[in-house]
Amino acid sequence: MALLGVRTAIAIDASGVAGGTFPRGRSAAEPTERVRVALPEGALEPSATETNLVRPAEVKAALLDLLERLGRPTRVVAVLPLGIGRLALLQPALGAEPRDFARFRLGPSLPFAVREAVIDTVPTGGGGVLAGAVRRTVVAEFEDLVASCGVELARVDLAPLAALAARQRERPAEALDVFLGDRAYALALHEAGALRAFRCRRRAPGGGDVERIAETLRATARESGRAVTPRVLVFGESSGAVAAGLTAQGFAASSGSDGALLGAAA
Amino acid sequence: MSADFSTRTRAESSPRLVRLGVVIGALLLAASAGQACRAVAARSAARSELATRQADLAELRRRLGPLERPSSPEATLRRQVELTARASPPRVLADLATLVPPGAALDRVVLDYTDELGLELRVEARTPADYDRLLEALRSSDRLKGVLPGPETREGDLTATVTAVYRPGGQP
Repeated sequence: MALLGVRTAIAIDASGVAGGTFPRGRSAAEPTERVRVALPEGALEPSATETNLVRPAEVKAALLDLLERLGRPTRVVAVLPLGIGRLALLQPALGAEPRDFARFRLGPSLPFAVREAVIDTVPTGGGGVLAGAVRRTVVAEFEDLVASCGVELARVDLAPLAALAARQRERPAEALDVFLGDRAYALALHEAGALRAFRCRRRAPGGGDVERIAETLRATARESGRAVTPRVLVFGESSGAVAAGLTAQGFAASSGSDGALLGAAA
Repeated sequence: MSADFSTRTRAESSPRLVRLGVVIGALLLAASAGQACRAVAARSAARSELATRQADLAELRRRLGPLERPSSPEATLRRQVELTARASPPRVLADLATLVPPGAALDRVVLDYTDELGLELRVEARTPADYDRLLEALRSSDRLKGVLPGPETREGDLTATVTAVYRPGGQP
């Protein structure tokens, strides 16, 4: 057992719930244990406005199974899936409190009243922040789910904010990251230690998913004025397959550590 | 820095290091409390001692007060009357006569009755040794205190002045 104990993070998405335990004192570390429990198709559908837990009993059963395999942690960080909120890269005005600025900028574009939103930000270098806004009722759904399993919530994070913040701490000179969710993906362009571009798109599981991701990568590289697309790092479930598909599309792509996604949040 | 989209306020986590810190803090607090208790007890004892000393001092002042106060004329007169009664000139002279050894003599005696009876003795002695024996006799008497030899002359016999205070009631 680690000297300072362990932290536990769980990630919830449409295809399953995953979790890992991480030694305290190290950020974005590889998990000492990582477990994934698949969810029945349609039991959970990430949505920004609608009910996410379509069949809550099945999701709860999967989560209980996951927690059991993780050694019955009493306190966890929950990472909610891509696609349930609005994410945007912002450059707060000088002197503005980032969260207030994010509320001001994201408010008009939300599909619900801004007063119903829970908004937070993470720094992305160069004075910028990545802001996320989630409907309060959506967060409460997941909070209730975790509480019903007898586990205390240390924090509620939103994929892939924690992982992006961790990547920023590495200050990558130039990189393109792809964060895969079951229903959406996010793309981040790092340049000179700062996040220069961020996009969030729905996935197309039926076919042409990798092509869509590839096209978004090219567009992002073009818009940033680059002749050569930076190396692509793909994180998340089935990242290997997507990285392989991107490589086939002509990208220098590889799969990143899945554990890092949870570890950054934990 | 991590984002938090929680809708509910929760207590902060208490990782093992924090708990360890809390335990150490509690131990230090307990040790400090023990020291504080001992300090309080010591202070209490010191205060008690101080109170005792202050009470003693107050009592001494109370008793010293009358002695320090200037005497009224009536009181002075009363003490002089009492002193004269207890140390009348004949009695004083008689007591002094018993102290004068052979070879020495009292030439003049001045009695000064105030709060106490001051004596000024003019003595004559045939030799310095006789004078020394007289001084020794005066100093060893319980009736006298503060015996001080004054100026002396050696013109033939030795002549000197001695001052002292007479104490009524003492042994000659």
